[in-house]
Amino acid sequence: MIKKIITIFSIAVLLYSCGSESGNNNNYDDGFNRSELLANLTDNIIIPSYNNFQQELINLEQSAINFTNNTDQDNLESLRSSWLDAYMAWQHIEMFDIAKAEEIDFRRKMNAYPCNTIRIDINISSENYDLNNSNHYSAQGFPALDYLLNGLTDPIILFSGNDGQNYINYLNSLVQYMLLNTNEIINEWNNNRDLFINSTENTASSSLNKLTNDFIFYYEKGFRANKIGIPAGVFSGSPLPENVEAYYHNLNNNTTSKNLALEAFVCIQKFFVGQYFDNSSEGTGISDYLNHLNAQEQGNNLSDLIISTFDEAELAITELDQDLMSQINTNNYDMLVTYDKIQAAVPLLKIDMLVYLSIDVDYIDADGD
Amino acid sequence: MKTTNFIQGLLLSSVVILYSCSSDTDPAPLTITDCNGIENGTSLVDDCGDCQQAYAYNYVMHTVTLLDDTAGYVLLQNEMLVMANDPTNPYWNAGCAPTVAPDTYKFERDGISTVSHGGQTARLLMGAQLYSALKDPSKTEAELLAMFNDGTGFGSVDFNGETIDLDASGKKLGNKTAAYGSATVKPLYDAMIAEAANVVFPAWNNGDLASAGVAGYHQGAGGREVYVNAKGLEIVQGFTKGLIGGLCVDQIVNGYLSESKLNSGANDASALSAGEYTDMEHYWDEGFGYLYGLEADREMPSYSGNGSVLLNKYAGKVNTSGDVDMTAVYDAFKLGRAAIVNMDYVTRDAQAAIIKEHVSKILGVKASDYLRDGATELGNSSPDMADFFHAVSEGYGFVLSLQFALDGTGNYILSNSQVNTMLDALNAGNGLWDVDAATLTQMADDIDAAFGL
Repeated sequence: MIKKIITIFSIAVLLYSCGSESGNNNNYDDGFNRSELLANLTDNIIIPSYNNFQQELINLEQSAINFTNNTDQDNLESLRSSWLDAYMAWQHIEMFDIAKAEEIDFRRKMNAYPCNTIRIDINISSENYDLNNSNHYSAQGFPALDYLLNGLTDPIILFSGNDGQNYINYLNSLVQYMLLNTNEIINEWNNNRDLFINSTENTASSSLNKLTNDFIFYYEKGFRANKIGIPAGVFSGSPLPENVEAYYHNLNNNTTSKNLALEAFVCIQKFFVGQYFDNSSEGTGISDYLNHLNAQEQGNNLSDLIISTFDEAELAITELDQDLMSQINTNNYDMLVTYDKIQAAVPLLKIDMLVYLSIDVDYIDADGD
Repeated sequence: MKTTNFIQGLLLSSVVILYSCSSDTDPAPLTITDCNGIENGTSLVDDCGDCQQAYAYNYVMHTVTLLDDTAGYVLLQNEMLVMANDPTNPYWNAGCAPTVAPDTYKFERDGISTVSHGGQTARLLMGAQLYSALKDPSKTEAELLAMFNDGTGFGSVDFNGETIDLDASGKKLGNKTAAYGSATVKPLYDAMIAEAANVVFPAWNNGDLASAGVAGYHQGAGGREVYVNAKGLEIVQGFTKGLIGGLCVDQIVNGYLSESKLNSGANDASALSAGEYTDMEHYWDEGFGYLYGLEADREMPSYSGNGSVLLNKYAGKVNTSGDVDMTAVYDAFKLGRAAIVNMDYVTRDAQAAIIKEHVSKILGVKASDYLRDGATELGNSSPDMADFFHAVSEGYGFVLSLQFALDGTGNYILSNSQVNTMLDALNAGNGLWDVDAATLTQMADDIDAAFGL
């Protein structure tokens, strides 16, 4: 009898150690076709978003080459414009911090802001840096380009002056590196697409578990905290308006930070309901999964509640001053109220939704001590 | 014979490894009998050795339909599938030996204590020093804000025979104040500090006398001296009583003892050495620390001394008055902590609920008490306005704190906007110079009703 228990126990242990990090079962079945959901998210949102982003980066690369060949005002303007287009396209993919992107720290390399201008200046003059080294994460990507293109007092003079070649070299190496990493990630998606959508079990490393966690993490950190909370001072003693996204461009243009935030929020909402990247067609989304499970929160349909909470938060952002820095400096209270409305969706996603999906949170809030 | 069995078992194990590890090929058909006797079934043995089945849970009727096998089962209206080892399955690990609370809050691993709440003790010591600093008119806004938000300007203090360098502790009050709930609340604390330094202290240093609309000094007939802002608020009281809810209670009830926080902490003690603790154990201790972190002996809480100006002090008051049973709170902390060691999460959550309800109630009791004290004072033929300002300023801080309180089911008792409405009533016009006894009494009645007092 004891022997039998030991045998069963050893099977259980082996299954556990090989199969997953989580204790959930491998042949997960709640009557919902996870594969169909994953296929829609992958084929109609993730891969098209990446392809679009890649195209914008190729345009950015061309603009950088044009500017390299002729550092005049026209080429600078089109370079700035390509940068902004690519930054908008980036909002569609930042949330997919998974697989190769996660492995190479793509998110941190592309959009760590505020950028470290001291580090950037040193890199430009020394020409001795390794962009793959985490010390240089805040000296590259969109925020560093923002500083180079929109933050320098007179870029034309600097890029064509005595140290002009150093500036040109840094600009091109940043753009090339962004494109290189993006190509690598797209290749992986194309190669592993089938594997990804067929990973329908329910373990910590299964596709939907990872994707859902990344989605919520992005909503909390990349969206809520970075774009609104940190500049509004939610995590510091006082507001930090200079920490808005695309700070330098926003200083000139006044609408950039808010537009990027709104673009990001549209992506969040489309992802939740499974709406295609480039049109309004809707495939299977997480909202459908919740409806299949008849998910409710205090008598309300959970999907509907999440969608209406998103809507309220989006409206609050829309009603803010077009210039988020000006909003913070003149009436930060409204920023904080907007933050509250964004935050209202967090427990719905992180607690209610995950309980229904039987998915565990795979990240820990960095607030312990 | 035994050897044969063993080899059979070994063979079976190795087949299973192949089955579970190879994902690129179709596995050969293989059946495993689960603990419920079902081939390829979904039942699993839990940590207590009990065979647990999956079940369909009807969340409207709260009925459970046990499933021998989930294959082919179609969920009915209002049903959700709960797998045997889902985190939400209360039966999982429920059959272990019942958790027994130790006599005191003493937990050890191999003879060395596993209870640690140094960060909470440091913050409570900081809170006591900030309280004193808010009564020191030589302090500047920058100095006070550095104490609050940067955790500097304190120096070293002696606590329970140990010297603690607070500035080097890395702990801060500000980033744990009003950390849950509305983001609009934390700036109210910063604003109080700014007003103390920029309005009250200059008037204090200048010897200005307070009057309606004018910040300054007031001495009551009974001898009490207060320094108030233009609305009659003694800021040091509003701020400090606000921290009781915004720091201590919020961190306990909405932070460390919340299910989401506790469940995010690993609780596998199998590889731990003497004195080491799991994340979940530590979270619980940190919650404990916001209430008992300044006790000279946490195994025998006295609710006094050691410079306690925050939750612990008022827990002592309501315990003495009989309004809140603090023995029940201490017992729940002990039992819940033991339950974590025992991986008995049903008991853990039940104790957390007791703590949340009782600790929250302290805020309601004291808010109501101080507002009524103010109303009583105004009812006197010649009210002592220093006593009045002092009491209602304490009440003001407790009202600010109310938005962090939870009821027994884990819901907020009063919303942010309900609390703001009360604060607005106290701030209207010339604030405490203008407010009347009826308003204060009505507010106290409303709080009593909300808290079931």
